[in-house]
Amino acid sequence: MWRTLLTGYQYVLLVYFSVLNVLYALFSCIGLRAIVVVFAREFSQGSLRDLLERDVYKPVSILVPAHNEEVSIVGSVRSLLALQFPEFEIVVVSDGSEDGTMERLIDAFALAEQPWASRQDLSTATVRHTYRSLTNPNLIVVDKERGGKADALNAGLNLARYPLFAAVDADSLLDGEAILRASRLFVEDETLIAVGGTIRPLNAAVVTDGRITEARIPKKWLERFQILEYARAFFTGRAGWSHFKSLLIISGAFGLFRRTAVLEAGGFLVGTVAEDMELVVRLHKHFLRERKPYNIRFTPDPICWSEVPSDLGTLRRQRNRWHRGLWETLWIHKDMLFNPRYKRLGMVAVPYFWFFEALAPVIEISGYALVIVGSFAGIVSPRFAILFVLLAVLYGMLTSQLAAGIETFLSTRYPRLRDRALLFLAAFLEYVGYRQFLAFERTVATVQVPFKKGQWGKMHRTGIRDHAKSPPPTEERTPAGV
Amino acid sequence: MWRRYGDAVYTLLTLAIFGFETIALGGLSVSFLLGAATGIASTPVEGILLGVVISSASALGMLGLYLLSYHFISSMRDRWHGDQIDQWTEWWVGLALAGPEEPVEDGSRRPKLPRVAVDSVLSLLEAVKGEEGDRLKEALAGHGVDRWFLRRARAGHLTSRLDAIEALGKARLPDTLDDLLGLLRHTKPVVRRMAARAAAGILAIMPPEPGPDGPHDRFIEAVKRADLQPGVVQEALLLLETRAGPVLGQLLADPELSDSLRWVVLETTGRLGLADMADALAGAADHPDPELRAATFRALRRLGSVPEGAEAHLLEAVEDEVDFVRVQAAHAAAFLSAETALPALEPRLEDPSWWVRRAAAGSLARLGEIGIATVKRAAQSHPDQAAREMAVQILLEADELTPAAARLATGVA
Repeated sequence: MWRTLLTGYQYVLLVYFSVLNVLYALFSCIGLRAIVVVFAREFSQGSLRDLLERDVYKPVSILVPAHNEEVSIVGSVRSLLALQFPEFEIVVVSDGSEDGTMERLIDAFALAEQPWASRQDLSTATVRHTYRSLTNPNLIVVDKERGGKADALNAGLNLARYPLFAAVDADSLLDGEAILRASRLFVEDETLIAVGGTIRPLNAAVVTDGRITEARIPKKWLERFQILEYARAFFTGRAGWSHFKSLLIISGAFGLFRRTAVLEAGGFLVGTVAEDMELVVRLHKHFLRERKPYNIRFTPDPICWSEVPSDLGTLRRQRNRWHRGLWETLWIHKDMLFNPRYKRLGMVAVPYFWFFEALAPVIEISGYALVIVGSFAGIVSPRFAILFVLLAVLYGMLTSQLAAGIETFLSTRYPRLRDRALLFLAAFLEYVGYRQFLAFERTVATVQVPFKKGQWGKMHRTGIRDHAKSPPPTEERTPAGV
Repeated sequence: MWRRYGDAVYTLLTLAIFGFETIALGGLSVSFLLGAATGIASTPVEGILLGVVISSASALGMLGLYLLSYHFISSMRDRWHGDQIDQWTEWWVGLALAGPEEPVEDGSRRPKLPRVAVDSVLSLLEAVKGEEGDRLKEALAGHGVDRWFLRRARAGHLTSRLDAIEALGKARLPDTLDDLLGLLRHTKPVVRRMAARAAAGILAIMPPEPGPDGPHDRFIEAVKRADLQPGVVQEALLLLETRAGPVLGQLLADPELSDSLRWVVLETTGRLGLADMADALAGAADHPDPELRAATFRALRRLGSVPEGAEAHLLEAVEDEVDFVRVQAAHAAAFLSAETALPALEPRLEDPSWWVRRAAAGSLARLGEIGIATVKRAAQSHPDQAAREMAVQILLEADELTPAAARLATGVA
């Protein structure tokens, strides 16, 4: 009996593996077409300059939630203040910071406390003080009681004055034209309510005066593997889903939203660790229910550079949190699964995320177990098992290379041939332990979902290292999240 | 930001790998299921698996090789291209300053220019205008560059089509206007968008030609018929620059104009600051569509003047039932006389909408001493707390109040 079950499970695994890899390949093709063919040509430097010169833009409020971000907050705000965009405000929300976040902001930007007549569109934890910069009038800082990242974003939304808002993590840097490139999409498409940009790992990149001047391959393999992961996720996965108008995730590190649409949907949901994905799914749901035309898309051009974990512990906690967040969101919106009311979202995208994202690590780990058990039990020949594992590795490498290949067309890429070769090698090495490690942690997260709801966990970061300034200290802290 | 070469080969390679993966995995799945009857590890299944593994490894090797080669070649090409651009720019500058090229003796066409030469002159044309610019354009046409780009814009692959449209937009050759207008009917939205921008750029440098068959009329008709998002039309109209006035005026005067296009025209007129069109705008101040009413007042606010014909409608709109109309009307009211605006704006300090309160307080502060005095009075003693807070906020932003005084006024510790 158990032999029959194990044999049957092998068929399931093979079909699962085949469908998943065909989908990855399909998304790679779509990503390439959407990115290089269209974006490379439509959004040239010339047309961007036309936008700036001719007042074709919608002003943007940039919301920066920060919890104990003393290491990177000043550099991050400086970088945002230097953005090439004619009309924007920055609203930094210190969410119950217990370190020197507020002091550093007050010193660096000459903040003066003043009352603020804010709207109360969304209820949040108590706002203690509101500050305005005497040197940069478009910088507002809110000091509030701890309520979590979503709560901080809601507090920022209450203050935001402009029709669009960007949610940006305090440990991230934006390309100078990122907001301009993303906001023009809202001018061209009245139904657009949210745009997600591309996130690239910041580690080891050369930062000068808050700008990335050169991308470099980090020294640690752990960080190199993440470069490939980010390329896969953004240049293939999100580009593909966006093409099918079924994008479910806009990274919390950088996304641009239409303020009225987010307020209409109720703002960010407090108490989840995936407020970014949850909001996007809720926006889809809301607009589909209301039968209002809308569009949510990914665009490869606005690039945000974000620091990725450089040690196993932080990476493990981050991925655990991400996976719990995925499950939390899917569970909150479980009524969308195979629900024709939600059209392709309900019939394709949400089921994909249930079966090929949320359940994927469980299937993967069980596959490894099956190979071992099956070999001992004589159900699977060792030769067959080895060949199958090898095939899985090769397909994984192909997907990584297809995605990393798209990055090759970027002008700010990893400039040295040696870097390219290292990335190629990383695509192979990530299958020797790294991938299994993450699959295991995500499986653990699947089990932990009911017990660790809304818990972020401690993160260790080194901060943004600006080559024009002295390196900041390394400190232990709990960030608002990536 | 994105490199534009090598992507066609990469696309083909990706498609080949995608096709291969689908076939290989499909074949493997079928053979695996068929082999179940005779045992999973049967020889045919293992053989197919081995074949798939070997071919996947080959595909990976091929892809890796392509990427490494591309990386290597593109680094060299970027350097070479930079040098070539510099040399050609120097040559084009010489031509622009010195005069036209010598005519070809036997009347035949001049030799085709290398792409790098075309790239350099297109960049140069963005900066060089007037007689020198015309000389460069003549040279471009003389070498048949316009015809070459038009051929690609009409019938090339999407990649080269978009490149060609962008190049035509930069070259701004009047003879190519009608071909670009024709592309506004293209099935792909991205082609329509880029063609609209390029056509507008060309029209912006063409002298006005009145009459139903003039270029402006042809442009207007093409835009009206095209399936373009309002934002794209707005961008194109803004690109008309000094030629925008007659086009916008003609569109505004059209009673058949769709509401969405009328909204675009109102927005664009305001953004371009065409103050002499204020009277023409006023016609939409009592439009039944609130979006159009709001757009009218937003435009008037940008123009900085409210014509007499629109005053009564504006005062009515300050109390409009739709909040976003009230917001725009309150902003525009700053350009009425203080005596007219003050009685309308003061009650709006206690409007239920935060945005209307802010607009009203802001406009009051712009009315001069009498307005500032009203806001100060509201900050001190308005019975409505929201009105007091907003008044303090506006006084702070106008530097009429210090943060310390504001804290005192609102009781913030």
